[in-house]
Amino acid sequence: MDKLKKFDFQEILNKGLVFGVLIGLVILFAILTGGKFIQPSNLITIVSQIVPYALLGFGMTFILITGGIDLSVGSILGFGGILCAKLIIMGCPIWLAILFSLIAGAGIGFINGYCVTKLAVVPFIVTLGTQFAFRGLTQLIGGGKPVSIQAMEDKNVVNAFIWIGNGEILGIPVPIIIMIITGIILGVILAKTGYGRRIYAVGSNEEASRLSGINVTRTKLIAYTLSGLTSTIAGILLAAKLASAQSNAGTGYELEGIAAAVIGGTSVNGGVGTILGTIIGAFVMGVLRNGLNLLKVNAFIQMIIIGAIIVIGVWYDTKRRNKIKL
Amino acid sequence: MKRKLLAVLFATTILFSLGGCSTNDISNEDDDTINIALVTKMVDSPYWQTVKEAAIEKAQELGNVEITHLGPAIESDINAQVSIVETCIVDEYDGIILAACDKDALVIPVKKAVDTGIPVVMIDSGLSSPVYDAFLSTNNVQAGANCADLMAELIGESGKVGIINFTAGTSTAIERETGFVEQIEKNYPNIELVGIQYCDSDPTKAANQATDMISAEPDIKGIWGVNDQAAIGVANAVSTLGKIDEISVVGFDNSADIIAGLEVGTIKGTAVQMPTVMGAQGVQMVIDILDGAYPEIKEIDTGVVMVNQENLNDEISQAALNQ
Amino acid sequence: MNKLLEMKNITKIFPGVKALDNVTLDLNQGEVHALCGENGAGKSTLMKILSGVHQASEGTIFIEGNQVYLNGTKSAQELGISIIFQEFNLCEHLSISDNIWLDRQPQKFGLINDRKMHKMTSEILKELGISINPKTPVSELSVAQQQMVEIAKAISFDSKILVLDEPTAALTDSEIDSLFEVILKLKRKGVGMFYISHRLEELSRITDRVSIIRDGQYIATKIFKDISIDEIIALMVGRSLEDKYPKFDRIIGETRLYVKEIKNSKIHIKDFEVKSGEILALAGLMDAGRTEFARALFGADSTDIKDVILDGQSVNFAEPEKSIKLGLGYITEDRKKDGLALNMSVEENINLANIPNLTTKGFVSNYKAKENARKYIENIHIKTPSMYQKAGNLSGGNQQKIVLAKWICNDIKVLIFDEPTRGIDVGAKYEVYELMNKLSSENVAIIMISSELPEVLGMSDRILVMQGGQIRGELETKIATQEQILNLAI
Repeated sequence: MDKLKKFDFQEILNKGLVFGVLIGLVILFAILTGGKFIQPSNLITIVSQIVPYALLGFGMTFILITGGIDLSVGSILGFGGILCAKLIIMGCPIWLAILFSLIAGAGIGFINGYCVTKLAVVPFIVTLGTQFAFRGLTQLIGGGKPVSIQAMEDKNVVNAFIWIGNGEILGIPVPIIIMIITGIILGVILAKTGYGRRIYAVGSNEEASRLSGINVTRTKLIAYTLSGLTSTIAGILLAAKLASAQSNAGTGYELEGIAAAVIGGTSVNGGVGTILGTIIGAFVMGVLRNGLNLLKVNAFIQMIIIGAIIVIGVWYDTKRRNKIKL
Repeated sequence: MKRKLLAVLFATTILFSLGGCSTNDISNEDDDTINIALVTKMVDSPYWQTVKEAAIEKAQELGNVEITHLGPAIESDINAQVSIVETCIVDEYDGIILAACDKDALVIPVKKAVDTGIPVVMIDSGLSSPVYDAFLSTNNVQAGANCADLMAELIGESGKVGIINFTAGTSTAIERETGFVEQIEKNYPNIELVGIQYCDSDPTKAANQATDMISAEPDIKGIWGVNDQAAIGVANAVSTLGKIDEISVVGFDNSADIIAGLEVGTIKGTAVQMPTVMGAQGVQMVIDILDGAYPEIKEIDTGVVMVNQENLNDEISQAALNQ
Repeated sequence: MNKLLEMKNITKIFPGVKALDNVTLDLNQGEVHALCGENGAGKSTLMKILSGVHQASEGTIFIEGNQVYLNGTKSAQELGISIIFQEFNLCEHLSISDNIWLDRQPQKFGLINDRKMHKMTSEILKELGISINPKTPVSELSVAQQQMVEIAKAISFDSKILVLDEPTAALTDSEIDSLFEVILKLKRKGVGMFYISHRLEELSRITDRVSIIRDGQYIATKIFKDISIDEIIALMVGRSLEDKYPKFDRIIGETRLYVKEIKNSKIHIKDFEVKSGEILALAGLMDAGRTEFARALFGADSTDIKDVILDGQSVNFAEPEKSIKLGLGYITEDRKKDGLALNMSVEENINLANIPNLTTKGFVSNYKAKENARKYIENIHIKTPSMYQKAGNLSGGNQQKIVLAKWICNDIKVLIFDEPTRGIDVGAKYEVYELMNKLSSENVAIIMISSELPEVLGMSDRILVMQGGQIRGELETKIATQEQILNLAI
């Protein structure tokens, strides 16, 4: 039997192409900015900037692979940040506030999953609805105002919280470390565990998976719960960065998450996608935005360029898929 | 399991509708009460909350006046604001106090309200056509110029300066930017403007844009955040990069975060508007117009107080900051 | 007889594969020409060349003596060639007329002239002897009616040459009858037809000549009357099959599965049993409720009453997940729809129902997964370039083997096998039957749902005939006849 991993090779090639685009962009910007772009400080800046988008993208990748979509991640991000900040203001220890927010965020993701699986409403509609509902919940908790940690009396608490968003360990900003750890954990879950296999199977053929004994409901519920969790992590990090939780934080970020996943090769039709791909996708977006800023490209032209990149990403994905079908 | 979840969902829904009731309904049929709709660009912002509180305070002082605070979820949702104003007309409010999200889109609904006999007092952001009854605002062009003066003073009248504006296309944003830019061009030949970005009132985006701006122009001397969210983001970027001493951040408006920034020096100065004046005077003006007393000049400047680190604790500054 | 079409020395090379090697074929006016060959033999490729989907690497095509160049489906259509694939190309939400005249609707002042279009459609449908309102949306039609719409569309192009690819695969017997009537009508009109089908029995009713293709090569063309079905099969597989059904003495043991009662809105079954090592056939017409029974038993559909005993223990097959844990497997009728994850690899599909056995502490052992896949690929001869190949790229027979492997590796006690050989070629059929025998020798009880009576009679020990969601009768296979089964089924 021919043991050549033809299929794997093709996957690597595909990922390699997006990665190649990323490297190409880096080189291009490095030259155009006269080296400014590839200074270590700027590179760290870029990674810091993509943290929230990548985190949303991770959860989104899981959901897109199941064949769903989550439009409410931006609202969950806002919810997580404001809940955490509110709890801290009320005197809750930081670790407990974070733990509680993470549980609440996961719970809110679970509600999405519950509506999608048990109530059998289309994911697009469910999460469109919860996008509004969770944003409302966020405003309700914050009383329509940002919750400022900065203005708290106890400066020890303020500094500890700020450290989460701005501190460094061995010269690497804390949020980046958290993003990398989350990415590795989720990447391993997707690639190496039984749950990972189930999630791809459900996205490839839901009915066949069900008849093969896969608990489709549980598989999807976990995906939505994980998305709630990563969105909350992003929300807490943003609140910690500014030492203030904005109740409109994350508005429109769901599109950034989707874009990162899709550019990274995740299919909106389900069954295909990787965490590594999503990270690369988030990098493409981040590199573009930072590079264009450094080149002082007009803010409006930037929007056009980024929009075009997203469409090209999906076009490429579709083209690749059709080729395989043949 | 299923039951419990449904119960949670149900409870959440109830909570929302209750929250909605308390602010949205014109609850009583009592003819003596004057119902005024306060329609702002968004409801979630300390600035608009201050306006609202001042308006409610004034209403309580007057006695038989009730204020309902309405607005779109985000500032850029112009359509939502148009339909809110249209709903106010249908709901037969006695008067509308409005901060327009867009200077053109709101002209028609405002004209409709005025034609229906509902007085409309504009606050903060006006319209391209003076179909309203009165307009209370900060002269944003003047305030922008004031910010330029403060910035010039902070950086010794020479060097590179960037702007992080909030939402492209809103009249306040345009006027503040125009005032600042014109003042720099006219009076400070040694100051170079190196870029304008729009952060959509998202502090995270503002921080990213400011960081990139500093990377692009390492010798930048000052950045102006054109509203409170923009200023908070810029201040964060500057302090993260450890450049508090090299780069002067000037903001606009005030909030707990801005005051904290002024105290630690991440923000060197801000232009404080008088939202309390707008809120309170807005209510008074609606009542006056209902009594037949129209103002002689429609445009009324409520002014700004420039607060910097030195005058932070002065009486005027504190009064302005603590409105 | 007039020669309508000649395909001479057609060779088609795909990257790395010679799909067709020097094939020559012709078609006469008013002839039904059957094309026989195993899946992957090259029939479909040949027909795709004829319809302009693919271009031949070498060779020439003549229509009525003139050489033609088919460089796209449009040019084939213009030359009067139409092909009706197994999967229809219809827009479900549009009306019959809109589908037939898609993109060439009659117009008046730049607007679509609906009245004229519906009239034109009525005429064609009348010609075919079908009475359906041309305004009906295609989604409301039965599969057979949709096929008629495809044929009507071909006629609307004035096609002289028509290719029918497995047209009866999804039809009931009476629908097949009316399809054949239409084919005979077209024949009288002088249309030449290529007919591809795995149901060799039905060919005798319409076929004039039969051509056999094997491994991309032309084998023979015979007058249908002069050749027997067994001879055709022998030519297709390249060896003579003594019997289509492998001989095997099954040892039948104790009752494994006993269904005291199972009921939902579609079916009501009582006192159903299947024994260890037994192959029990469920016969009946298309809508007799056999698949519904299987799904209800397996826990795929909900039930009102369900009282089941497995190996003497009362069990609750509430969900597929649970049923599988308890030892019940279910191979579905439609592999592509609900049997396989087509864009996943062979390995992933084989292990699809086996994930719990491959995981320790939540992590999948890649080694175990590969070993398991390798074992089954070798043992049951799944022909695939590698275990990383996408399941969707394999032939029907090999796909069916993957599905089988999925269950064999799961240590099952009872296996429900819905239409085990639908749409797969003769050679693969034989191998599937052998696997069924092997399973029964391992004391697995097999419930086989089949619409092919020869298969029912050839493979089972006992036959239950269903009709209207209930069991109508039981037959001992040894003494049963096709007529007896049909009498109970109707």
